[in-house]
Amino acid sequence: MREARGVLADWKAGLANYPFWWRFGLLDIKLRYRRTLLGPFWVTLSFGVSAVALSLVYSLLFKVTADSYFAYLIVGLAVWGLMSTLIIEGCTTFVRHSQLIQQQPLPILAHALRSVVGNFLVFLHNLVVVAIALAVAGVGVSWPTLLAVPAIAVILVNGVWVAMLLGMLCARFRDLPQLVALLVNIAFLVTPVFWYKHMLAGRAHFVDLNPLYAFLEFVRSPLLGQLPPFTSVQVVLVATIGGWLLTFLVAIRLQPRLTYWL
Amino acid sequence: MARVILDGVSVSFPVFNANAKSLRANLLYLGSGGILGQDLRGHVTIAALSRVSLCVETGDRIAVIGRNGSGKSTLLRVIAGIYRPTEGSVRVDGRVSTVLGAGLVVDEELTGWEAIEYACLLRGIPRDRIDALGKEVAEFTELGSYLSVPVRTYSAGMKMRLSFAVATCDAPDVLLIDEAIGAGDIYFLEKARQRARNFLEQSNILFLASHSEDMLQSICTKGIVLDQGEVVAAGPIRGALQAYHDVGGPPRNRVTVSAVEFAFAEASEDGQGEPGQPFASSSVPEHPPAGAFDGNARTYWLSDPVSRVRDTAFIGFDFGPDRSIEVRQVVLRQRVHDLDCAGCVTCVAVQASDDGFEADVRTAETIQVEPDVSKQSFTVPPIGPARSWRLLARSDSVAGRPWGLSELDFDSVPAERLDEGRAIGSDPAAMNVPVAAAFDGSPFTQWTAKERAEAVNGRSWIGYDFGPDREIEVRSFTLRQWNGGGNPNTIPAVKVQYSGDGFVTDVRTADTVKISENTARNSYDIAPSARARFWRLLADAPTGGGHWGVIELRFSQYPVRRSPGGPDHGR
Repeated sequence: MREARGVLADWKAGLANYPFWWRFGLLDIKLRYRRTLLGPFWVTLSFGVSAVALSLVYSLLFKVTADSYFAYLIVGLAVWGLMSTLIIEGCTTFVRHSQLIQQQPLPILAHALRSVVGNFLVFLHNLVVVAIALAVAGVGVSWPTLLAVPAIAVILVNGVWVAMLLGMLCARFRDLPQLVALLVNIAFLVTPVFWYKHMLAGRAHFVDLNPLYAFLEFVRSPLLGQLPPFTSVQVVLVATIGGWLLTFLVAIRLQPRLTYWL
Repeated sequence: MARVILDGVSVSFPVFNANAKSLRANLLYLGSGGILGQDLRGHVTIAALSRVSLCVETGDRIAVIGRNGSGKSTLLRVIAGIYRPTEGSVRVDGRVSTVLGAGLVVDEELTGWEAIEYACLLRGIPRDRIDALGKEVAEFTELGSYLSVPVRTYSAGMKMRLSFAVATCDAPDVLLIDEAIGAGDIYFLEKARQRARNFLEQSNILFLASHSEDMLQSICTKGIVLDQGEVVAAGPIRGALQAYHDVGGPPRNRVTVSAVEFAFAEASEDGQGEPGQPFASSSVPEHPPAGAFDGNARTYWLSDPVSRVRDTAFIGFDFGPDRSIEVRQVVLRQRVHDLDCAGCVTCVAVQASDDGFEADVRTAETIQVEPDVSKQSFTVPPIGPARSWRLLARSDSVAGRPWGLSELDFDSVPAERLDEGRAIGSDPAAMNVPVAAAFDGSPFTQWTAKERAEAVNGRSWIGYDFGPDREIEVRSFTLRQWNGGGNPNTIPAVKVQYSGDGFVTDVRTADTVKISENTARNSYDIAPSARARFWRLLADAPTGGGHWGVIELRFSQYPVRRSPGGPDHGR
């Protein structure tokens, strides 16, 4: 009970300390490209180039040349990029900043928020490429497009619990980051990012079991001007609530001892 | 009003080896569950702090002293709220600011100006104040044009200036500094000292951990000495530094003794009794140890010892409806390392009652307690048996006085009267102040002259001849040492010896007892030995001669007994 109250107090203080996590999340991106000519636009450029290259390769492989596939792939890559970095960097949320955590008393949650802010900012840069791709493909702005804003917000909210949960577990179990990176790599192949669900023909229902697909479709569909499928909304809702509950339960046990493991 | 209170804080670190920290070990543990799993999971824990209690109030500048690995950094991190104590509680009133590492807390790629800005942000300083404070910080660091280049080009001293300046820029209530400040040059140290003094005027608290004694002495007013995670001394800075030097020598082996392990061989007078019920005015005793009760003595710990006494506070024991006990001795240990002790409770009444202190309140004695953590024992004059006994602290001041016991023993066995005999010693001329009033029943008191505090080159002793017709088995003694003004070379231990012939040919040693370094009155238990006519304390001098001066010595036949068995009540 005492632990649960402590965790809640920490989370409240973490949310309230927005000057810290917002400014430092911003700073992380700035510093990554400090002393470079293009600065943070390296993010845009590298994503743009690799996205175009991938779309060329895949369109040759799958023999689809339609502009709609081009838009589908680039939107998918951008959203997948956000999700996968949230997961992979979530593993090092606390380990990465062990120096700071051991020297400066800050709410634990604030470090997770900082990590998510950084990833969100990278995603914003990639959105430039997405906008160009949509324009080239001729996908116009429609009502469902507006849904992308709350959808991305939901992804970020999930990113916070992922950063907390994986951050704590990975601080304790140092094998986990490698394992997670491996799983995310495999997930990229088995999730319909660069291929269509209907390409699986009869076995498409396997895809529905993949929660990452639900999240991907939750954001990708609105960006492509469509409403997200209902199953995807359901899965996202359950995962958000379930994920936070799980994180809370794990935090009650691990969070008080987190600093000892860094 | 800034305040830092640590109440029985313990911190133990898990140290994971490669196996324990990895998932594999835990998966294997799940799989095997047996000895293999235990081995794989058998990670070592280090007790970094054990049962540290502190009460620091506004205006104190505390030096945290101790050898490498004694727990200084851990203590500061616990106060900062970075480490959660595994046991005990921490309370900090006021805003905390830290300089806990040699490096900066922000990325070194930042320029000096940016580093100041972001470090202020980390400290939670509102944005509209950062500009103004930043300028002041820049001024204080005197880094000038260096502030425009990245911090990674700075020397250690320059980084430290920056950290120190940022940490102190908005007058935090509690400032914690660990080592880092040592990197500064003499000129900067003077500036830091000046700032630390201003700090005091702003009535704040400073904790400074360092190995530079010059700096500690010039900045701090008080000190606490840590050794293997325990506070071994606390007090004014000079004394604390002295105590630190005395700690020296190879690290001690840690033996954790729980209350259960305080066991004595001798059986109690009236056998094993039924457990009674501890009671107190405020907090419920938290750790009544098993075996604390043997019909006579009783020990328990209070959970919230630093609560202030506003009117009255008490702690005591109800021995149950069927028993009447006459308490003749009280042993108590206060828990709080109150560095000030001005305003502590120094006076406690020993009271007895048969009706739970409703109408029947009898005061046996009012005892003076030393504001000190040492165990002290007090003899209570006989007032007859009663069902409940308590210690009552009273405060007239509005603010209240801190009061807390960590250990309390009631002992009902009145010792035999020992009102005859004579003092003996290695230097008879020094035995010239026998005090009649000290012969008050059970024990007796003997003062030696202060001249006895000269260096012991060879051997020196003080003792008692109980007379030709009596043989006594001494089981405890109370000792107050004469402090020759922070003598560096006091006797660390004495031998308790007994003899049948005045220590001519018959010299038997009952026990060797380590003496507490402070000057407060302490009582010590002695292992059971045998009855004898002559008893003495023998100071064995280390080479060079230690100092030794006893101003009060009592021998008692009865130890404060705690039996190994007994029910574990109250859990």
